[in-house]
Amino acid sequence: MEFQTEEQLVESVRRGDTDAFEELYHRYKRHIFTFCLKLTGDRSLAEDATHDTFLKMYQNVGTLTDTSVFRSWLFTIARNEVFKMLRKHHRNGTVDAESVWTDETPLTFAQTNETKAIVMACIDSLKVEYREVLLLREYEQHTYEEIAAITGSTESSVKSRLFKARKALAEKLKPYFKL
Amino acid sequence: MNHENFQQRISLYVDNALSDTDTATLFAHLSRCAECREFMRLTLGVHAYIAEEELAEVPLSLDRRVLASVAMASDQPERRPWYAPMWFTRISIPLPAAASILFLIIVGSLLFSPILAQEPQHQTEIPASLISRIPASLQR
Repeated sequence: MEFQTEEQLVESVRRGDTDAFEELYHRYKRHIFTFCLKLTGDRSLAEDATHDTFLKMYQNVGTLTDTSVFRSWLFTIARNEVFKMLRKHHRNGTVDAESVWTDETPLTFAQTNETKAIVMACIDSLKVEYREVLLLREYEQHTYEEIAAITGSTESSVKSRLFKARKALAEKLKPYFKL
Repeated sequence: MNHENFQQRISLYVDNALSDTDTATLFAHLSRCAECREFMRLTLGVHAYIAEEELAEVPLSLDRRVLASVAMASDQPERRPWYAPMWFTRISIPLPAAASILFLIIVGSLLFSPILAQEPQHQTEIPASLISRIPASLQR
């Protein structure tokens, strides 16, 4: 298959082209899976959320009026799927949406003596609403405008949440990285 | 301006969203504030660590599951709700059949048309009282 731009692929998927879907899936699967994994903290939940995200994308791509915002739209679906799953598991008592990952404190990871592991563990121990904006900004380099669209908030709210996330993260990291 | 305001600017600076003027003000503050310098160091450190972080590998079983679900979804015919009216239904008829149906409709409508139907003309009966008034020379 010759190289196709994202917009061409999206147009093809809209016409029901499953090959184009497969190409888009391979381009985005690791991004979406990592996002779901970092938000849920659970591989099995992340797999389910990723599966449902791509299936919904295929079924609803016809409703996407502007194909240039496909990436943000896909992350919006993923975010909604993750929160739906977290709510469901919260009701079932298996995962607490507010305290996912908080069982794994920085201390448990500090024992590995790996700086990177400490940083990642501290990110994972942040509140889910902080972790979400940090992941979208730092991992995916989404703009403030895109993050606002994905999370259903405003740009100023995104800036504020990002600052609070970084502040909370810095507080958690301080004991390990004292000058 | 307090530390929190400057730290908000640091967050914007890390995202390349701070104006040149505000950047200059921020660095002037950093030169004399250890607390904000510490925040800057940790925030930039996190930024650098994440840039090195690789995305998670997707298990092959998930690839297969997603592609199978989409193949199934694409095979399913579009489901129409039970209440969908008839006129939303697309009817496909071959051209010769459609032409034959149209021909029969035209011929049928002409056969039963009142224009072509031979209806007997009714002769109106003239009452005898009126006939008697007509002069006898005109009556035949």
